[in-house]
Amino acid sequence: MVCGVALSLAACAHLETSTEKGGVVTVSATPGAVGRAFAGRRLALIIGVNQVADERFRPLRFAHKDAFDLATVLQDRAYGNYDSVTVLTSPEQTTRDALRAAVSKLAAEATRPEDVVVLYVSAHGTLARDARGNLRRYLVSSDANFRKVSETALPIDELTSLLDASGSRRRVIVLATCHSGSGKSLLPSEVEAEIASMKGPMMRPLEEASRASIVLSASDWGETAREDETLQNDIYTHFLIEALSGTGDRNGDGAVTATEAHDYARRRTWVFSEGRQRPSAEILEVGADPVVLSGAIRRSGQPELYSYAPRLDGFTLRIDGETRTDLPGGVALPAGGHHVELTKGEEILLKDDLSLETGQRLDLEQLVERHEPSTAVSLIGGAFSFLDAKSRAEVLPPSASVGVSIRADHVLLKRVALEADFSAFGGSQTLQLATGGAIPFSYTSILAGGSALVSWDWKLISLWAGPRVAGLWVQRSFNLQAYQGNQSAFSITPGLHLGGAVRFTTHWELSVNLQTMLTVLTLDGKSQLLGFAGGWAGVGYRY
Amino acid sequence: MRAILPAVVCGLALSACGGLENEPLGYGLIRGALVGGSSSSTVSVYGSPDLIVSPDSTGHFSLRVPVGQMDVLALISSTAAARIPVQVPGGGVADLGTQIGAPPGVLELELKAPSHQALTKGSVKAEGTPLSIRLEEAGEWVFRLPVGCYQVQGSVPGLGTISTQGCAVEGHHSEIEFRFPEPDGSAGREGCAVTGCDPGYVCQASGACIL
Repeated sequence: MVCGVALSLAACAHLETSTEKGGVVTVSATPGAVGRAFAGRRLALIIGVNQVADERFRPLRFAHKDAFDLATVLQDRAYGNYDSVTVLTSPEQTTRDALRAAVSKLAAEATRPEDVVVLYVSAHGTLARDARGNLRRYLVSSDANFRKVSETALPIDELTSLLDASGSRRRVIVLATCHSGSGKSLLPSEVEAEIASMKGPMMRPLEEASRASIVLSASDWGETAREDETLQNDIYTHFLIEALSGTGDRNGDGAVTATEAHDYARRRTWVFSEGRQRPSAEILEVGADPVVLSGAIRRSGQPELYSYAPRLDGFTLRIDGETRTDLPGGVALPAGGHHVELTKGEEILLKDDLSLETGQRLDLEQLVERHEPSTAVSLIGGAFSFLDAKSRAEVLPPSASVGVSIRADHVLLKRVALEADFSAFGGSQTLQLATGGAIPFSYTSILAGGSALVSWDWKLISLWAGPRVAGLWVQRSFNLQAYQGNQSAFSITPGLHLGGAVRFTTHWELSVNLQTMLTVLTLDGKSQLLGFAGGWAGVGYRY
Repeated sequence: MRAILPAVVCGLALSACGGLENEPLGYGLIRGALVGGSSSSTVSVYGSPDLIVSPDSTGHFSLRVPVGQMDVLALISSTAAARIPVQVPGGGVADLGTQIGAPPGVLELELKAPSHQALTKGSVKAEGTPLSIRLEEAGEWVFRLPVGCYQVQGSVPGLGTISTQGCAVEGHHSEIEFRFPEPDGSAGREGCAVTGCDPGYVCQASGACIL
């Protein structure tokens, strides 16, 4: 790219002597200068709120220091080398409106996808119900009111929304706040009581996730972010600064990426706080393109394995038989062959031999997906019935069926599945004709079809729905004193398919499928449009 | 959307083949045998005189009828007849077994003109049975029917139609007289203009015959 631009400029230079209108003006541009002009800039907005006007929020000791310490390392040419670092700490700079304006300005300045944008906040955080009754996280601005949080403080998700307006695809939000009601948080008593009544971990609200943003939190929901007297900083911030000072360069490529810095700070925070503070990360659509926060990539680094996917939280990554880290997080390894395992207790989610190359970054979630069973073969049993009473009485009563189905998940697209099924049913039934009398007969039916499904997958449960087409063949055999004979009919039946499965082990699942279909059946020489439906349950083996 | 549904239905109809038939299941058979009958014996469904069959030389018969409850009339001979209620199943057989019948009730029939109109054409029939008699044909003016009551209808062109109930009692003769009213010139009741008059009588414009 750079060479191309330089060659273009050189070629244009031949027109220098032209006197024609619109001639090219010579400029001095070396390839290095052109490269720098097109390189992404590094912009940071750093916010520290020690004191809130409402004294019910007790003062923080190190929020300003956190901000200035981080600014120092980001401005340092040996480390951050940022083009612009803005620090806001005074009460008038950290009101809700001032913060909104500052974040909007930051978003407007970052115009290019390769620009790196860092928004750091060290302040009180709190939780409150918004006007719609949803529990949201708030950043306590200097003018926030303890009793009117939703009206006076700044919603955390608004920060990500404001940054979404920027042209950058490398956005990092670092929240050195917490929302647990202790440490750097203070909650109204009713919110405290509400949180106390919740069982299990609190759900992270979806609005936190922002396109192409990394949100790094000093503590997980419901945990406490702490300042520490000996460190003279917020604990997480202290180790984050340490990471950005070069020690966080896990793979040795010369740069500290956002995930490297977070992993470094996360582990040390966890150890330092003796497990009481567990920093978290929300990472979306960043892919293999690392967001470099400090330093520069000068060489190919060691290969890395990482995952920040919530579904892998708590799994342990073992490399060549040794425990290396708990997820979320990542490790750098020497290039070459490695035996990789992902385990949680007795459960082994992944076991694979990988050959890793220098500079390679491998997302463990993608690796797991490649190894996850994606095809299920099931034995199914169920029942089938026409929807209208007349057809049930005069064509075929509700009947049992057994069969087999095969479903391939993630076909072409992650949420697309294809399913094919074959079921047959037969036996004895009785027609109830309008002319009176019960007519015994035997029947055989075969239903074979396929469905294109959109699926929604959770850890143990999948649901799917989609269009379907099948062929239905029905044969009725009568062996009456006055009438003996076989009758058969075939038709193509389009319809809808709904279903779901519960995976009770890696390879076994219980599935339920409901299908409704339309068919045209000729009865006594007249074609009739009929609806029928079936429900099947099955046990499937996934491979 | 309006255009799509018919197209889908047509497509489905074109893809369909074969078919199911419930029509054969709407019929059943009545089977049995008559003892003491002849080639003129009949077995019919009361109320549907078109559903009729004569037994074969061995007296056996088989009659295909619609499913349902019905009475079967077995007119075996001049001295034996039977009326048998039966339920015919779809696709099945109602077996009447061997029928010897019982002495029928005899309904003696007589037509009477109001004023000497000539009775040369006309008929009498027992509704719902295969029995009917025409004036033009020679024969006995009686119906031999199984025990029971029947609607009997007498009809003479020009004099009209009269319907009455006659009950057959086993072994007994009952007389049924059809006395036609004076003609009134209306359609079907023109009187002697259609029937003519008995010998010696003159047809009047009123339809009556006078000496």
